[in-house]
Amino acid sequence: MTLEARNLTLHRAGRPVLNDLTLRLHPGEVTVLIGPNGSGKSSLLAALSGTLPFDGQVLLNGQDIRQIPAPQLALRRAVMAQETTLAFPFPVEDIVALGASRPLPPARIAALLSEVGLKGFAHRNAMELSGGEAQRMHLARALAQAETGLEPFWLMLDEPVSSLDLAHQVAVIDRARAFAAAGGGALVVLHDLNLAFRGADRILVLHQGALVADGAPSEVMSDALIARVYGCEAPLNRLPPEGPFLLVQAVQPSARQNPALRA
Amino acid sequence: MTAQRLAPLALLGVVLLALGTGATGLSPLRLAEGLRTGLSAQESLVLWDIRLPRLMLGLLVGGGLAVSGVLMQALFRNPLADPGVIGVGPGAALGAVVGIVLGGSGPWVVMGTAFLGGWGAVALLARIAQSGGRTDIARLLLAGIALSALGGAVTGLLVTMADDRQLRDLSYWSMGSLGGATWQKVGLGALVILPVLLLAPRLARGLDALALGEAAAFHMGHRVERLKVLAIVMTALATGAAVSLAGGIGFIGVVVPHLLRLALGPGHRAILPLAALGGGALLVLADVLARVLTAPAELPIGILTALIGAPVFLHILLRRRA
Repeated sequence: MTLEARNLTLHRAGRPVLNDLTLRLHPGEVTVLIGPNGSGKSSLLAALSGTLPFDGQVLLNGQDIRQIPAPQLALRRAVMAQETTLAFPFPVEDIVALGASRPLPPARIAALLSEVGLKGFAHRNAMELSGGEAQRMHLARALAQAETGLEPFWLMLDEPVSSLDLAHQVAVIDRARAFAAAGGGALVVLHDLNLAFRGADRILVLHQGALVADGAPSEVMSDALIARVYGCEAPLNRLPPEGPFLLVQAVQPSARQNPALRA
Repeated sequence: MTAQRLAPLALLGVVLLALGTGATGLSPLRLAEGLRTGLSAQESLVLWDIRLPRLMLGLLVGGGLAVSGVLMQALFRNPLADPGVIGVGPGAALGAVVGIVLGGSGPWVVMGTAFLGGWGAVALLARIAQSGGRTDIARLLLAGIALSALGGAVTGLLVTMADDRQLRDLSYWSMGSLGGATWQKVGLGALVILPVLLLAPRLARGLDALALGEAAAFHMGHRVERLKVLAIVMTALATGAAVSLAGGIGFIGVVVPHLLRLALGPGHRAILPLAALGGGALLVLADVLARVLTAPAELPIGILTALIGAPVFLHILLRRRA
């Protein structure tokens, strides 16, 4: 019962964005995907969710993901995209209900909404939400799909906290942790290293379409890795020393490492 | 929902009004009385051979246009999209012109060429929009614009070749009419349009999901490519038949879905059945006005739907902005 990529290669507009990636994800874990812009994080998520065509293989519970019809696939994984635009003014509760693979009672929809901090939003126009509210509504939609799916279910979140305030960022990561603790698999794309450190059981670091680090946060995160992957110097501190919290200190642009910053 | 309960009543009212309106003196009151006491032979002839087929044709054509509008708006994720976007209207117009100018003006010839023209345009567009096994909606839209312009040019070219009589036929065709309704036409319309009206609601959940984009609809378990093809085929069938049976009738496909969305919200499960009824009712109502306003002459119905539809549409736009 794993989600596996074998020799995964993906091209976008004729350019390779993922290069011969092989990895295996396990349910019960939060896997956080980090890496600079354009490193292939979203493409990897799109391949693992069966959204984009690729070369190589993606196996969901041992089955080739391309052979799984959309309705069955939806029982196994939910995807929250970086951005979802809405064409018509549905009420918030309808959007959440759209995620569910079988009808959920209104009380369950309301419970999911309060879980993401949108209590009382059920009848609001989903097109008039703020960016952060909309993001949490789509998380509730993914959770509704998880609730009506089969176990182990995979939750794939592409930058789910990009519009959220501090408290909601932490809440979303903690929700992913609770989901994994209950036996599901979570794959989360993040930019915030502190948040990644807090939430991840395992961190995957992508750089130019290749996997450059893979392991527990405390094994993976280092000053050298940050310098190599991001091309900037941002000394890492643990709070307390060797403790669970990571502090990324003020970033020093390094002209030596990052040609883009050379004036 | 009150709108769901009101709809059958409103439809019944429109039906009685349509059956009781016309050049001969068969009024709604006389009709109600006649149902109990029996109609005269002449009244019965007017009812069965003229007014009833005209009513049925109006209901089918209006319903087909409104449901096509809903499908296109869901597919293009835009409340202003109409079946013209995928080339049905312009293609059918070109077909009709070809039929009138080159084929002689038998009504069956023109109907046939219009239907073929509509289908030909859609098939060509769908083919152009294919990219890597998928129907690319943005490409469909752009190719539709180009093809419509091309169709318009060829139509114009043919118009310059037309004689006076053909020009008159052409201009009447392009303004639409339910005038030539016969039971054969009703039968043909029912054969093509009715299945679309009945089957479209089955797409409701997929069309709802499409409001979040194609990728999200796929993530939520919908077979997106099949959904798009079905929506296009249904629209080509319903609009193609509607236009070839009644000519160019605008605005039904935009105004009816828009009003329904304001009243009921955007959920397609409620919208699609009511669009079928409401589009029919609105077109029949417009037809009653077309017959009454300039009696004993008849206004082309396309003029009326635009005269009513365009201001309603602008009013809605302005009110929503406020």
